[in-house]
Amino acid sequence: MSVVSEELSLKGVVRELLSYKSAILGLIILAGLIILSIYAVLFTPFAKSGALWNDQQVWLKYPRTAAPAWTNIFSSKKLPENVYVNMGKPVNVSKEGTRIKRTYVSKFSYNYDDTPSEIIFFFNTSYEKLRPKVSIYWMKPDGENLSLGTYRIRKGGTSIYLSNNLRLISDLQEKIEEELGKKINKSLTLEDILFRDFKTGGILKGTYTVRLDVLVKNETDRVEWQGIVYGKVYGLAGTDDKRRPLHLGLLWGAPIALAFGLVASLSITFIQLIISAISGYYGGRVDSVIQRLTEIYMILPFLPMLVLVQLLYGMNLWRLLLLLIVLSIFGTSVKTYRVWVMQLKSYPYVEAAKAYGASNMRIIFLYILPRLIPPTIPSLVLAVPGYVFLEAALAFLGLSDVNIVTWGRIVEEAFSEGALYKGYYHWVLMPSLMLVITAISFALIGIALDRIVNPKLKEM
Amino acid sequence: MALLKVEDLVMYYRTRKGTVKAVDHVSFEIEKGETLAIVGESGCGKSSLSRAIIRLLPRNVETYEGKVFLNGTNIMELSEERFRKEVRWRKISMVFQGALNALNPVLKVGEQVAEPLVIHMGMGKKEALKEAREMIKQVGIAEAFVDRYPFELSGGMRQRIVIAMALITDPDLVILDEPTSALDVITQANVMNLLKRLKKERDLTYIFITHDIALASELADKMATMYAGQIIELADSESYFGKPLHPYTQKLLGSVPTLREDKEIAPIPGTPPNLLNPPVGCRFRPRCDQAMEICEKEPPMFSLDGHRVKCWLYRGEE
Amino acid sequence: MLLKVENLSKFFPIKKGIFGKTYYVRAVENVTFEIDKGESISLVGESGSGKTTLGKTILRLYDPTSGKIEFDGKDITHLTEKELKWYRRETGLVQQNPFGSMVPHFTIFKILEEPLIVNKIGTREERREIVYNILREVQLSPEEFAFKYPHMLSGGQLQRVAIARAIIMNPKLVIADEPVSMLDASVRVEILNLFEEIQEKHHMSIIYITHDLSTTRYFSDRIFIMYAGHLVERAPTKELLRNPAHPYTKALLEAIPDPDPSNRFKFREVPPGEPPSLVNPPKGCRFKPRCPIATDKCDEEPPEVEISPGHFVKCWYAQ
Ligand SMILES: Nc1ncnc2c1ncn2[C@@H]1O[C@H](COP(=O)(O)OP(=O)(O)OP(=O)(O)O)[C@@H](O)[C@H]1O
Ligand SMILES: Nc1ncnc2c1ncn2[C@@H]1O[C@H](COP(=O)(O)OP(=O)(O)OP(=O)(O)O)[C@@H](O)[C@H]1O
Ligand SMILES: [Mg+2]
Ligand SMILES: [Mg+2]
Repeated sequence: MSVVSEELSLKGVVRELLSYKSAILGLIILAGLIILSIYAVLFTPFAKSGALWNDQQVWLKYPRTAAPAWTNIFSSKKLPENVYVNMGKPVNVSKEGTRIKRTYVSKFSYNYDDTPSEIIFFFNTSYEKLRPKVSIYWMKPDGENLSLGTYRIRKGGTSIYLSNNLRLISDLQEKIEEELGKKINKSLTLEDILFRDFKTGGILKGTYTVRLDVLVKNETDRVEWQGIVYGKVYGLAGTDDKRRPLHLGLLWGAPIALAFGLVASLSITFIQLIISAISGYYGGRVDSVIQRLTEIYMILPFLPMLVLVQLLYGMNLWRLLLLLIVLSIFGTSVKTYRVWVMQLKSYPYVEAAKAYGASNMRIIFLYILPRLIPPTIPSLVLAVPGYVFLEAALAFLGLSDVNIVTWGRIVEEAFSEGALYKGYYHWVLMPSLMLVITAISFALIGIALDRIVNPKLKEM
Repeated sequence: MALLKVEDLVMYYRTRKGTVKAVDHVSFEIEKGETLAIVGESGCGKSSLSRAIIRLLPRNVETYEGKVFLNGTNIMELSEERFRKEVRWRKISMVFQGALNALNPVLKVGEQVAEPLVIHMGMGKKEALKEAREMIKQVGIAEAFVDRYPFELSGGMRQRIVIAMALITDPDLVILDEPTSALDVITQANVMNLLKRLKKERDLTYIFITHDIALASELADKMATMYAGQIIELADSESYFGKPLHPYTQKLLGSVPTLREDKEIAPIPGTPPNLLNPPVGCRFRPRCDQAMEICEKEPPMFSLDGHRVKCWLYRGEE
Repeated sequence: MLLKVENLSKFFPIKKGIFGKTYYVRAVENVTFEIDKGESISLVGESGSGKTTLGKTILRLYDPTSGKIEFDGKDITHLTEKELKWYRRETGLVQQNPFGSMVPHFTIFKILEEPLIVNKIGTREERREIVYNILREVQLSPEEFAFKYPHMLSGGQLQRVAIARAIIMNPKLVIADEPVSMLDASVRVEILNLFEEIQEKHHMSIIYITHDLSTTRYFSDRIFIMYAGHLVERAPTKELLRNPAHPYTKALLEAIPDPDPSNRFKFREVPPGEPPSLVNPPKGCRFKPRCPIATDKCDEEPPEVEISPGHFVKCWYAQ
């Protein structure tokens, strides 16, 4: 390929770029990604995203491994979303012995076609002497009343994982079997017990009532509660097995993916250009040394080296980026660029510059390098997804930076939790989709740019 | 009857910026054995005109019309198939501008010269090569060079090869588009000598296209000035050089430096017109110091004793 | 005297094959001449005769193989690039092809400002003033052209910019390498006129390199004829055109037509053949293989003789 001699103004390139439909699509996607990234950085606690992601407590109120909410649109079976059973005012306050009994009644309607995934009651308490006691009652739409046990609540925040309370579950199952007059051959889950009609086996739709009797010693003792009936779908991208909403992970991953890909591609290209310029312009010994170096680089096993260093030193993402750059700057493109430089070097304007006394550095940086930038832009753009994928691949090999949320890391976690075997497809698909979309946007733009900048493909 | 008669030939190009009127209603005729030299500044449409005559059109031609009579038949009406078989190279051949640098680098020059015979005359390869050998000798190249590749030949020799390629089919008319502009003066003189000799020996008819007026006088029986896609003056050489009529031709001749006589030379003021939207009326009007009001209308060709000129100054002198 | 060139040679080494011997292209050999202040010289010769090489060697864009170059009384033959700084200011170059000679991503203003910046001339405002003035001098309106890019200019306009760049530092010597060969005849005259005007105004010396002998008479005091690396004849313009002495010069003059309709009836008497290879040139006179009057004597390199005042010829048979 020859270096473009025809002048390509930025404005001209942009105008021409906009005449390609595919490029417009690419630009729109890219703009979307950029807006997402800006949003993530400015309007979410992006700086703390890594710590948040690793902190299990933060995500307690999200359902576990829920599919994205929009999957309901495509499914005849409507999966539940989270239902919040909130406290409200006590309907009755009475004395019971020396204690005060506050009775709360909350209703919620449930019209989904499947059982929820989990039921947890959260308490926040402060009291003086005795621990408050809480009894929970459950009334199904068909009028059946179930007692879900009585619990003592510790100071501060307490969660009651009803779904894990095996005693309670087997007690309830026994009770149901008694009522039905026959044994049920499998062990039921709490959600089955609380949401199914045992005569038909179907989900009971309608209004559920939850009653809480809270016994406290003093008037001033405070017990706040909330019950969550966890759904099976959540948000735009669902959640993972640690209840983390994936849309946040994807959001936080966007600026990192873009920055990683762009910085890698830009700095590698730019450094390669400078190296090639020096190599091609000065020639002689400098050139031979650089050329031998590129040949050595060519046979170096790039990925294994990267993996090895990462395994040994466990670097963070930005160190990894630096290493990647160092391992790439003598890449094969140096040879291509060098040929361009030698071609440009023989242009009369370089000689003219020498004739009026311009220094070599001035000639390289002011006269030659800027000429090389337009023809490298398409490959620069096209290389971005490669680096994004590389980061993902390293993450997939378990070599990611644990203090940062990246798309690759999400995929890796999905795989290591066996998401695909367990049917949590969204967990793998959503981050992969982001990777692919990113790749496509850069590819669409890059290919169009290549047509514009590389006149061979251009028609008259 | 004229060998070639061109009537209102038009060829426009379509470009992103608009229509380029490269050949705009051009008419002329050439008798057998005569040479017409067409001179004009770079970009005035000389090469386009020659392409239009031999009908080798770029893809982006927008309009291509008019009449071209060869020995009395309108060859514009022929299908491409028939044109290729019966006219191109058989009757009209051409030396393209810069062709000496466009020879096929992997074909021996002998084979290259033989190629038109194979392609256009359907001759067998062996026989064609024999004729090519003969032709190459005729253009003044030693036989030893027949089996060489183009890069082994000097510029002058390559130009001779290109001329041989144009002559090998023994055409009635040869179009020479800047056949020597890439050559040194002495080599150029040698090639011009060759063209003169061939013309004499074979009674050839040339259309000789050049931007060099002095060079045109080396070959031309008739001279034509082309300006902005049009022929604006057409006369026998004696009349053209002796008494040029069009102000542009006068200025053009006045700008040619001469070696043997002392004369003042002067540039032509202004810039050549843009063929995208040429000036209305006479196209030379913006640069002409004798422009009048009527020049805003396009002048017709006036004929003064066979000396034709497209300029209002000669209205009523016919 | 401004420039004195003595026995100057420039050979280019070329290698044939990987382990092959190094050969030399003897592009310029044994060239001697002097140029006065304010003088304009035409250097004429066929393509490949070494005109450009001679010009660039004088400007020290090439290192001379042997010989000596004196400028303003100072020997500059072997100065290093650093020591040449002042020389760069005193000389200007107009290149053979205006189209490749400007940095494509610079505006005309920047292109013209660069030499000033590089040579630390003037403040920002002063440089602007200088650039605008020089643009006016080459008849390009600064308002219209200063901020255009080279590809927006026609060949003639580019050529003007090239000239402006060569003279912007007010050099004592300008080498103009075929400054008009890419242009139409009508524009050619205009540019050459412009050149002459500027040269007279600034009292510069000019070496005007061309292969077109017919323009030289209008623009030069003396003509130098080059053939295959040798300077074969030099003489005042009128004298050379009237009394060419070297057989090559005669052939050159014979080959160039003037516009004349009777040309078509005659053949030109020009020597056949081509200039020799410069890797392996003929011994002695390099024109010998094509020369109609050559003898065995010509196997020896002829000396330069002054056949009339200022008229030097390198030929055994020159009278
Ligand atoms: N294929 C094409 N598409 C569009 N414009 C064209 C095309 N070919 C030529 N032109 C334009 O048409 C005009 C005439 O071109 P043409 O090559 O015929 O000129 P010319 O007289 O032969 O010039 P020159 O002396 O430089 O060879 C020019 O302005 C040129 O830019
Ligand atoms: N850098 C170089 N390396 C090797 N050979 C060279 C180099 N530059 C020029 N030459 C050779 O030196 C000879 C003289 O070239 P030069 O460019 O000086 O000729 P010129 O008279 O300027 O020709 P033109 O009219 O074509 O510009 C040619 O044979 C050329 O091939
Ligand atoms: Mg042409
Ligand atoms: Mg040269």
